[in-house]
Amino acid sequence: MVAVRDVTAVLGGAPVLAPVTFDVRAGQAATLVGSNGSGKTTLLRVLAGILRPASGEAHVGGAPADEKDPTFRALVAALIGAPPLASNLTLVEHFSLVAVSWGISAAEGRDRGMRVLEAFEVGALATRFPHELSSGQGQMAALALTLTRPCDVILLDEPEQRLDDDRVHVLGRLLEEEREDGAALVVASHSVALRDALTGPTVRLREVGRADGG
Amino acid sequence: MAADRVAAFRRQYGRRGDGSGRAGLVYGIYIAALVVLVYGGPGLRALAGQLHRDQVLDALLAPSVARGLSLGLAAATVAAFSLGTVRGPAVTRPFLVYALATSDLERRRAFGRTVAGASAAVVLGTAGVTAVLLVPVADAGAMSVAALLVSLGAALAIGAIVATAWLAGQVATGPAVWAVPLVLAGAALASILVPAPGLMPWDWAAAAWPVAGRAGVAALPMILLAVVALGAVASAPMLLAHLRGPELIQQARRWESTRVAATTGDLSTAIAGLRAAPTVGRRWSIVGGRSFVLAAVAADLAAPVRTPMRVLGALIGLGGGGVLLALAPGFPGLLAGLASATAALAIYLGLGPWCDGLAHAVVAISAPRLFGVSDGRLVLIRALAPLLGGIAVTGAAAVAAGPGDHVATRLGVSAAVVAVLVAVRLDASAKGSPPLFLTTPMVTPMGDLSVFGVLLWVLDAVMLAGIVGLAALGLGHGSGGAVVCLVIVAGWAILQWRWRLRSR
Repeated sequence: MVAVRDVTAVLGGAPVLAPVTFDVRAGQAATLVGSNGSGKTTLLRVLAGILRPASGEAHVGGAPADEKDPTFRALVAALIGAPPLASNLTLVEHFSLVAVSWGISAAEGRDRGMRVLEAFEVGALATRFPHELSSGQGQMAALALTLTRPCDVILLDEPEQRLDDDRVHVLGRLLEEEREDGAALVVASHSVALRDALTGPTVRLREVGRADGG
Repeated sequence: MAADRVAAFRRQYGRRGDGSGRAGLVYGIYIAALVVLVYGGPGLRALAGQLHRDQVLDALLAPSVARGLSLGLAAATVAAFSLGTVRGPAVTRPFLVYALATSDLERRRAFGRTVAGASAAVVLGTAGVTAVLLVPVADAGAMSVAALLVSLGAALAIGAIVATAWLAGQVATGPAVWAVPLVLAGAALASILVPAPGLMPWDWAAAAWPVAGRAGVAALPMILLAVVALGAVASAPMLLAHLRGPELIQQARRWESTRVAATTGDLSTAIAGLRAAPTVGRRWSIVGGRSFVLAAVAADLAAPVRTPMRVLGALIGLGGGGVLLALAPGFPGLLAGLASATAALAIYLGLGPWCDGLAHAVVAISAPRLFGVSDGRLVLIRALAPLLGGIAVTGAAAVAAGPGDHVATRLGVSAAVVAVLVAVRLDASAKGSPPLFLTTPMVTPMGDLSVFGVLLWVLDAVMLAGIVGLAALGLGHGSGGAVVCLVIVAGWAILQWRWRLRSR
C-alpha cells in the first residue's frame, strides 16, 4: 500500500531527509523513529503528497503520492499538525460535516467520531467548541476527526503528544483496530509504549550529516 | 499603602529593558506636539472654515440631526458594552495585568488608574468632537454661549455613561454578555418606532443639541442625564471590584496578539483576535442528513448565531448597507458616491460571520485532506451561505428602503454587490502577513515609504469594497461600465486569492 524507495527531501536548498526505503502493506502499522530533525515529519509530508521528494519514489496505493490527485486524497487520512477547525462548530458537528462530505450520513459520522472520544473517555467533549479544549483534549479531538473520514492509509505525526500514559495505551488500541480493519498506518512517534502497541515494521531514520540514527 | 505599592510597581515596570521610560515619554510629547503644530493647526483651520459655511450650519441645526444623534449615541453605548466583553478599559500589557490581577491588591487600586485613563479619553473625546462641531454654531450666533456650555456638559455626561458601559461590558458574564446589548438595542429601536418623550440617556443627551427654531434646552432631560452620569461614575468602583482575574489576563493576551498582528499588517488575524467566542447553542442540531451541500449551508447559516452580538452587528451592517445602497442614487453629487461606497463597506463587514465557513474551507484546503470534496467544490459550497444570507438580508432591506417602482433593480444591484463582495471576502480569507518585499524599508527624503505598501496590503479589501459601491451606483442606471468594473473586481479577487494560496 505504501512503497518508499530511496526517498530524500530538501528544504531551502538543505537536505532534511537522508535516503530511506521501506514498504507498508495493508493491515500493517509502520513506526518511524529517529532523533529530532531526522526527517520524520518531512517523510510524512512526502507520503501525504504535500512535499515532492528530491530523489527517489514514494508510492501510495500504487501511484505517486500527490495531494492534487483526488484518488490519492480519498486513500490517505493524515494528521500532520493541527487539523482545520471551525470556531463556531462543536466537535460532534465537525464529525458530521466531515462525514457527509465523504458521502456518509451525519449520524454515522457522529458515531465514528464519538467512538474515538469515548474510547479516550472524553465523550463529554462532543458539545464543546474548539476554543474550550485543553491541549490534550485538542489532540484527542484531532485524532477523532482524522479517524472519522474513511481511508485506506493513515499517516500520523507524533499522535501521542500531550496525551497521558493511559491514553497513549488507548491510542495504541484504536490504531490497532484500524490496522486490523485493513488500513496501512505510518506513525512517527517518540513513545516506546505506542510503538510496542503497533504491529508492523520499525523504520529508523538517520539524521542528515550524522553517522548513526541518533 | 496599597496605592504606594501600585505606584512602586508601576515605577519598577517603567524601568524594564524594553521600556521607554521618562525619555520615551518626553519623545512622545515632542512627536505629538510636532504633529499638532504641523498638521493640527492647518487641519483645524480648514475644518473651522468648512463648519462656518451656511449650508453646513443649516445641516447641523436640522431636526433630523438631533434624532440621528440619539440613535448614534444609543449605538455607541451598545458598542461600548460589547467592546468591553472582548477588550475592556482595564487592559494594558499582559505581564502588567497578570502581576496586578494575581496580587492581593484591591481591583480598584490595581486597575483604577488604567480605567480612569481610558475613560477620560472617551469623555474628553466626546466633549472634544462636540466642541469642534458646536463652537462654530455658537460663533455664528445660532446658539447662545450658555446653550453651548449645556451641550458640552451633556457631552461629558454621555461620555461618562458610554465609558461606564465599556467597563460594565468587561465585568459582564454569562447571558448578560449578549442580553444587555440586545435590551439596549431594543430600547433604542423602540424609541424610533414609538413617538414618545425620550426615556433613555441618549435621548436626553440629544435634547441638548441645538435645533433650528427651538429656543433653549429643557431642564428635565439635563437633570436626568446628570443624575444618571453621576450614578454611572459612582458605580465604577463597584464594577472594578467585580473584574475577574483570568478574564483580565485573557483579554490582555488577546489584545497584545491583536496589537502585534495589526502592527505587522495582518489585519484579519488582528480582527480575529478580538472576535467573540461562541457562547450559546452548543446543543443545536445544525448538521444533519446526507447532503454535504445542505449540511454545509445549514451549518454556515446557523452557526454564526452562536455569537449573537456579532450577528446583530452583522445584520445591522447588511440591513443598513442595503437601505443605503437603495437610497444612494437619490443623493446629490459626490454624496451619492460616498453613500454607495459606505453601503458596500457596511455589507462587506456584515458578511463577516457568514463567511467563517468560507475561511474554514480555505484553511482546510491548505491542510492534509479532511473533507471528501475537491478544493474548488469545497470553497464554492461554503460560499453559498454568505451569498444566500447576504442577498436575503441586503435585498430585503433595499426593497423596504422606501416605496418605488424599481424593486427588481434594487434587488439585482444588492445581489450583484453581495456576490462580488463574497469574492473579495474569499480573497481576504487567504491573506496573512504582508510579504517581506512590502515591509522592506524604502528610505526617501520624505521618510520610509514602505508604510504605503503595507497600508495598501491592509486596506485592499476596504478599497475594493469602495469600488464595488461606486460601481453599484452605475449599475442602477444600467451602465455597462459598471458591470465590467464589478466583473474585474470579482476576477481580481479570485485571481489574487489563488496567488495567495500558492505563495503560502
